[in-house]
Amino acid sequence: MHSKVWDSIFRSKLPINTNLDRSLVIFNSLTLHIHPVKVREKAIKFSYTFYLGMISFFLFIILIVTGVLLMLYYQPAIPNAYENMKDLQYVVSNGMFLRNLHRWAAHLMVISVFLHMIRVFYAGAYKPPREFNWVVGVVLLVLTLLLSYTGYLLPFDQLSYWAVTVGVNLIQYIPVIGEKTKFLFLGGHEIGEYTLVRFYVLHCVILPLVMVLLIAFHFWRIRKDGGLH
Amino acid sequence: MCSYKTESNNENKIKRRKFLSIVGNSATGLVTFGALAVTIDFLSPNVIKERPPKFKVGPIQNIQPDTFIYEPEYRVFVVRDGNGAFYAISAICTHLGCNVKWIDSNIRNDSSVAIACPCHGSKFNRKGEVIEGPAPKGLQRFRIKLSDDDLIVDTSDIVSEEEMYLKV
Amino acid sequence: MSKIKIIYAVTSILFLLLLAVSPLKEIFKDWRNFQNSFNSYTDSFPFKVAKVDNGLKQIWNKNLGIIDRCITCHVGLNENKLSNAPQPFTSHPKIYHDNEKYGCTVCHDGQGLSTKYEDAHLPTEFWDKPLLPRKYIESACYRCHDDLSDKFTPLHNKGKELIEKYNCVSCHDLPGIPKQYTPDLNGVGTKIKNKQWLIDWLKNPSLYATNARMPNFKLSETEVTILSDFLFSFKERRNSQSLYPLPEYYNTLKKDEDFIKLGKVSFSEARCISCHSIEGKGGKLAIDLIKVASKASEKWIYSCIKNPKAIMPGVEMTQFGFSDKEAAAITAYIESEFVDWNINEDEIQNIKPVTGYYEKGIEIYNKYNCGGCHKLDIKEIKENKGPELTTISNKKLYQIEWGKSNLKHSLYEYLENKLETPRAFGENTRMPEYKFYKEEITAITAYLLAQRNNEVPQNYLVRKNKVQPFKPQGVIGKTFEKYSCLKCHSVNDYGGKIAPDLAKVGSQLNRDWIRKYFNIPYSLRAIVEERMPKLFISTEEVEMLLDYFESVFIDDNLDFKLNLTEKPEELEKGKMLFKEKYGCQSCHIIDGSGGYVGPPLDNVGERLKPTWIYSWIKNPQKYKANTIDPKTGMNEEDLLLITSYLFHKRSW
Repeated sequence: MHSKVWDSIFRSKLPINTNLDRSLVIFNSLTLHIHPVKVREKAIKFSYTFYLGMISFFLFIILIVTGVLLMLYYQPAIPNAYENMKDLQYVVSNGMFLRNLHRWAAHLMVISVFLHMIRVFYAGAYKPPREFNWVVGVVLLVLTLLLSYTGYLLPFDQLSYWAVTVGVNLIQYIPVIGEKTKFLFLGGHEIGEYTLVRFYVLHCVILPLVMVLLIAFHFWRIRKDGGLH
Repeated sequence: MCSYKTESNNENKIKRRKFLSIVGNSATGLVTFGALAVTIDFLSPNVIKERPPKFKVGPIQNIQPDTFIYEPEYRVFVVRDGNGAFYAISAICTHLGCNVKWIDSNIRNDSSVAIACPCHGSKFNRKGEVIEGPAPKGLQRFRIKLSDDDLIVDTSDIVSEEEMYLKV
Repeated sequence: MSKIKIIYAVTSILFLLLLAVSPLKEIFKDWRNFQNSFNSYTDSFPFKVAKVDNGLKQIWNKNLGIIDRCITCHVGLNENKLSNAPQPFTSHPKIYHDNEKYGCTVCHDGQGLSTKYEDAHLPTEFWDKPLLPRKYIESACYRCHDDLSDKFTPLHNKGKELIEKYNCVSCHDLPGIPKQYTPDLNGVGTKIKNKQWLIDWLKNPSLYATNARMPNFKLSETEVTILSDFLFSFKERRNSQSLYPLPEYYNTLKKDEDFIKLGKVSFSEARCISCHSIEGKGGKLAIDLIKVASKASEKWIYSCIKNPKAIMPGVEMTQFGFSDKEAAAITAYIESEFVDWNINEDEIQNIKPVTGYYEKGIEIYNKYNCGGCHKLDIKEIKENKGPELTTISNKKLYQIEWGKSNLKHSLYEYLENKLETPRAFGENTRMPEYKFYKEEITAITAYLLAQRNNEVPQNYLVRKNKVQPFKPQGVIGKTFEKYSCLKCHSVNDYGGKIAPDLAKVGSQLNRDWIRKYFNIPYSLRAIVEERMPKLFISTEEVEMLLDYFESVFIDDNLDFKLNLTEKPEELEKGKMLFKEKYGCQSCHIIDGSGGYVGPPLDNVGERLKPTWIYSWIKNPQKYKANTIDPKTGMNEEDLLLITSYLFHKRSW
């Protein structure tokens, strides 16, 4: 184990015997140091956070994995988009399973993110010094909803067509910039090929990227604001 | 008695823990491999939008002896030689898949260069055999058939030189 | 710690089970079942049937935008030996199109992408076009073709006729369907004698005449009253000929029996019942006359007989060459016979019109788009059409107002029900009720299902040459118009389908025979009752038409010399050939005996020109595509002998 390769990847030296070594393992790891080196058992009790943040994060991972797989069978074009949905349903092996997995994970993520917010609220965890992380969290909630919404158009059936029509017309009521924003979202005056591509890029590239960055920042702030107490 | 019992209890506990670990690990292992298998199954398409391998060239009168026609969609040359026999050769260079070009349609013998590849300079005779450079082998030959006066080329049926001719 | 281990073990096993569901579902898909049972089914056959290799199959036609996976289960489609196999293994009946090239849904509709029975065939939430019932498949032909004969699309063609007949185009836009004649209502107050009649008619036209073309608008009592007052107020005949005054002797003679008899004779000589029916007996082209004297005024009837085109602009009724006396006599005959004895004339006549009937009348008139059929020259009339039907078949299901009906959602079912009970879908619908028969509904639905935008690429379209309209100018044109020749006859397929095409009549018929026929028309075939009406046409007009026929309605290919024989022994030989060798008598009557299928051939030499007889026998279908007269392929010698024999069948 004590090879050059191991050392180049993991900073902690084996064997780990002392408490200092153990602390260093946590301290030097990106993935583990969400908690401080030492925590009280009470602080990681299930009933304290219900792991809602982590559940949301894992659902996000599932969504990324299934989403990438679904992208392999999807063309954001008319009428291909709808035909591709039918393909997933009827001819692609396990296509329906993956599509449903993506769909249910998306629904559950909205629920868990929302519950997470309620938990933070009732635990008073938004109070100083964590008020900025609360703001980041709210942005993450909005992003989650936007991801849900942009994904809704992609099957391009009647349901999604009208949902997006209504949604985009809501934007129109924003004073001054409303009309222009709607035009930018649709890439035209009504839903068409460009709208589909725009929603596709938002759903698959822009929003997930922002989401990943903000999640990283959110996690980092948890630790810097004093972890879970 | 008493101490023995606790000892065996502890042993049982350890046994049970071990058993549960094995169950959990193997299930997780199966899930991992299963998920991998399911994903690979998912990744290989069951139906593909491909054009049918056979295509119609048209009636035989369309091609005069010592001429050829090029079918761009299938990348195939359909040639009629001086004896009036038809054959079909692929226009895909066997080197790296560029489209070969017919440079001289007046060639009558098999030893001269009739077809050349613009990418890396491979040269072929009019039967598709390599005359020069980097192409490792001759152009593919497809079976050509006659049905109701129409010539039909089957690109899924690759034949040898002896079988490639259709004599009319 | 042990608790966590238990949770770990249980959840991982649950997770395993969850994941196993999907591959298991893949393995037990329906289509795999079908393919396996196809292979075991065909094993039992004495002959060899190609096995199907397991896997999804599809037909892809990029140009038509079709991906059809039907052949995944319908595996025996092109295996002729399986014509009696059960579905889904049966073979496809022989058709003109290669299904591997065109796919399935191009004709059948349904969800070709699907590999599940329900989704592919039945109406589902996520597919607008379920499988078409077999009877409607012909509608799909019109995605590429634009004109197919009754042999291919009988139902659709029947539907087209019906749509024309019921004048659907007065409210719905449909391309290529001509508008029918409908009376204009200027001066309707001078035509209708009896307000009660108008009220009854507006309530339900089919009670007056079962073949009334006007549908039932289901007007309320008040609407009927207002509308009848409104219409009755139009006493003035604007923009058209005023009614002709009855001759003075009419009033004195109208009860005279001889006068009435003259009317009756002229009525039957003119064969009015070729077009009109009387108590349901007679022609179907025009309205039943049984109660007409209780509906229309004497003056109007007289004017109508005298010159229908003048008082009903655009009407198809022939303008007969009656003298004033004959016309008056026919009027007297109609007044004496065709009366509704049940109607009480006095009761309603003196009731005062409802206040504000004019404005309200216009409102009702516009609401039901009465102006679509009936012209009324006042400026308040507005066009208020129903939805256009040119692309009805493209309609998406969500665009359809289903009302409270509990139909299985598909377009053809909607159309069927809309035609049957037009007001069933929502309260604001105003389509009237036609009381169609079931067969009529299916036919019209078949036609409407063919009304679509062309989604297919240009090179798939099969367009027939459109029929060239025949519109002669000048005096010939006016004469054709006057006698409505093209209502029954056609010229190169333009015109009516009731009587023979006239395009080659000059090469076909002898001038003398036509002249006689104009004078005394008769039915060529004894068993067919329909015949040309007597038009009371003047000699000059006849001669002019004959000149025209002989110079224009000519086939130059029939202008050749025939070496006809006159020798009696050869004519006898022709007779033997006619009767014995070719057995023509089984269909044609000659010398008083024979079959009733074809026209009798006694005196055929008087009627037909010899070159026509010769050419017709040589190839009957060349001159009339759908005739059942067989093409015998007889040799030149026999042909000449038979032609000579028939040509000598004449009284001169």
